[in-house]
Amino acid sequence: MKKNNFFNWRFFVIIITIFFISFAIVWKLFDIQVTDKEFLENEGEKKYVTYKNIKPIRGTIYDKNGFPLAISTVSYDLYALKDYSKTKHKLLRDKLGLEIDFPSSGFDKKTLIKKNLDINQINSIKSLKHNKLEIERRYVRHYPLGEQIAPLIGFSGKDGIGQEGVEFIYDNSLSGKEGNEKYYKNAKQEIISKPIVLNIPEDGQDIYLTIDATIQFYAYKYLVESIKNNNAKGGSVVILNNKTSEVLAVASYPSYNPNSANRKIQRNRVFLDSYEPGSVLKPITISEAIHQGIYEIDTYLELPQKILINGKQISDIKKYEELSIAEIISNSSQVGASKIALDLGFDNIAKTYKKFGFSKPQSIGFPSESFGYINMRENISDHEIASLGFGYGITANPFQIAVAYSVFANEGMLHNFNLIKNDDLQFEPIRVISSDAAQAILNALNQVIEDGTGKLAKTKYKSGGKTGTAHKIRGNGYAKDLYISSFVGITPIDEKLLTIFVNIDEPDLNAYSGGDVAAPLFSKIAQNSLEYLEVSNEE
Amino acid sequence: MKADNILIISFVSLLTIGLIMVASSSIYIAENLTGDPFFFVSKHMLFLGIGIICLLIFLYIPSDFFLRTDWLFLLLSLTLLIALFIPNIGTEVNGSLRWIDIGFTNIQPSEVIKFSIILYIAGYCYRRNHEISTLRSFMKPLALLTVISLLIMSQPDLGTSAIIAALVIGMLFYAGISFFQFILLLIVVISLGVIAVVYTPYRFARYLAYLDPFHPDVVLGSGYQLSNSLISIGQGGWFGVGLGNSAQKNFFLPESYTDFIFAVTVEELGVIGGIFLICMFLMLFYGILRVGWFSMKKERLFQSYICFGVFLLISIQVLFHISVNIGLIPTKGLTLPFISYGGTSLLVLMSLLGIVFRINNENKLI
Repeated sequence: MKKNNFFNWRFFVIIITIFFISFAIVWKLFDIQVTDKEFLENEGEKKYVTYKNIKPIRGTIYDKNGFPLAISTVSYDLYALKDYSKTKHKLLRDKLGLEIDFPSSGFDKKTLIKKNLDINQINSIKSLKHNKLEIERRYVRHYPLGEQIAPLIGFSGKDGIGQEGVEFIYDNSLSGKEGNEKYYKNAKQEIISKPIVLNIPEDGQDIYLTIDATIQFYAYKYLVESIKNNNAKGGSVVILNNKTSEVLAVASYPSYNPNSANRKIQRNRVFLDSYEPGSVLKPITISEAIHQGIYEIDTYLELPQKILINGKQISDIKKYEELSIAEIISNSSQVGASKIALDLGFDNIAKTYKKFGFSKPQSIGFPSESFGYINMRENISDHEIASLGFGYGITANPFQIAVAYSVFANEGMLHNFNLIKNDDLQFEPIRVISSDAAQAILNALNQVIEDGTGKLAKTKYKSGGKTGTAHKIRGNGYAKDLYISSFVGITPIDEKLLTIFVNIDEPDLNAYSGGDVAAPLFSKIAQNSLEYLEVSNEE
Repeated sequence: MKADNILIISFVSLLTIGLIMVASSSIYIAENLTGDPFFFVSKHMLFLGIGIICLLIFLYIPSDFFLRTDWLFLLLSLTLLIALFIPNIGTEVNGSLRWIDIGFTNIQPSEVIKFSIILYIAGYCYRRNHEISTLRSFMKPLALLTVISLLIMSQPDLGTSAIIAALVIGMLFYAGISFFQFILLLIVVISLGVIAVVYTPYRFARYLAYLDPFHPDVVLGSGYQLSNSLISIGQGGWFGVGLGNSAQKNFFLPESYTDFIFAVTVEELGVIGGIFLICMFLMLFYGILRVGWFSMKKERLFQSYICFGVFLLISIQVLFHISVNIGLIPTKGLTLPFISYGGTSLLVLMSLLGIVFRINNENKLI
């Protein structure tokens, strides 16, 4: 007979079993929190948290007067998400005039369906309240001056990274710092929360260049015109403000449209093309000879038409009998320049060129700048020394030549030219030659235009400059029929405001000399720039 | 505290938590399926209402009535179970025949049988009290259990079969079947369970997934439910992400308002919330067992067995559900009593509670 006791051993077996399981449950619950929480939280985050980067606005690049040279604008694109419905699409198509037809199989992934929405379109899309449509912000970089200045400014690519030129040099400060935000999504991958900003993006800094958009416009316009007229391959222009040490214009042709996705990058010849500039360098060595007192500017030298050095002939186009130092410059006498170079000696010449900033990188830091070299061969021959005197055996880029000429404008002082307005890195000017020597060279440069090789450089303003017609190198020697014609000058000669360098690469052989090709280009650019700058001409 | 109060406090707490958690966990799924985010919670409230009516009805039925009519309930439930297999009566969902559509709602016969089997086994144990340990008395309920199990397994629904088997065996054991027979039965049932798992590919896959639910091979397949359930519990931490803030209920955790409602509860209310829920169940168990104890003291053996059966049913199901949710045992879809959404289950549980309240009232009068 069974005793009816509620709390019999069987009861306890069951209760203990249940307690044991309960204990196991609580233990497991704690164990999960202690051991696996981090792993589980991670697994969860992977499923329902999406992170998105917030792109900062790239800084604007302005010219010195606040005209934008590169500017980012916001653009909105419309995306269709997975399972976007056909009926909504019809509605949208009627409203926006969407080109895209609805794919027969529907959208199986996020697809761009309309670029560059305007504000009305954005509002009407929002009013549809369709959760399978997403509007995304995008920054678009615009270059208002386009190809006029593209080789200097460069561009920033799709990913917003500066690729060339100023965009590249100052990419760090222009690009700012990316922020990020997170969203929660559900298992259907739909975003179900408002964005939660984790890091606020830091917008890029704006940059003010020393470039003057108007002067740049003239520089590029006349450069292109001149290249077209001379059936040339290319050319470049540099304009410096001697007083403020600003680079006002850097033009290079051929150029490209930085606004186009299919842009074909062209190099910036001003910084990347170093070449043997020829006669435009003559005043550099001569100025040192005057500076050292080897000659006065009006010392006369007797000059044969031809001289033979190391068995190689150097000749002028005519026999001058005798020329003053100034006339050697204005007539661009090879024989004269050779004599002076030999008198000066190799060490002096090399030192001089270096003082003027040749064969070393310029402070602007243009990417892959080609800063040239000086022929420093051991046992250098007299012919090679003479060649250095008239600009061979040395290469330089246009920017270096312009900066070197600014020494004549700045009373013998070498200034550091900036591309960035109010650059903190102010260098003390360095004395290169005496101010008297500089003035003497300026006068000679004026003669070049008044009645020398550079007559076509004449403007309403009194200027000084120097022509150069250099043979290009082909194979192991010089090409007889390929030239780079240059002109570099200072204008107006009294105020010494601007240094302008121009060159034309491979002009037509009908007229190829610096005097015929480059001097007129200098004239047009100088005339227009000075008028724009409202410089008075009291001639 | 009086048994009444213990029962009422825990019972009402559980129903309230259930209502809140069904609302919270089903909101996105309901919106997605029906367009109405409160679709499931509205129905849940409706069933709560009907459940209270059932509870009140059973409160007015003398408990001895069931001693005479337990076979009738059993017969009715069995009929329903069999009716499932008649074409056009059973509603097949995801390959399982579990519901009979009776117009405004579905009823789940395997839930109804829980109600009847408690009454029947309680009655049987009472009637055969003096000879319960004999083999003959043991064979009859065993045959019944086999029939019921086979019917439910054919739906197929291994989880419910296991629960009913555990319930019947537990009640018989408590009532005094011989220990030897009990062990034998246990071995047979467990073996059958193992066979059912090993020879059914999807069940075996779930077993493998249970061992490592985050394994790349299973995390999107058979381990999907468990891995998401564990993520919920991990996200919740000690104090939870806050009511309504579960991320996992955004379609990540399947069956978030039924089979995995405990996981969502822990995610939103934390381990603290989960343990509070478990405490409410323990309080309920204590209340029910106290009624059983008083019945026994008053020599009301049948009533005492009923109480024990109700306690056993709820406790088995609670432990089973939570164990599945926290990965203590392989995944098996089972609802959490009073908490999960599920009309039939709620009505059955509330009816059983109604009987327990009635027994408690009777105890006071005798």
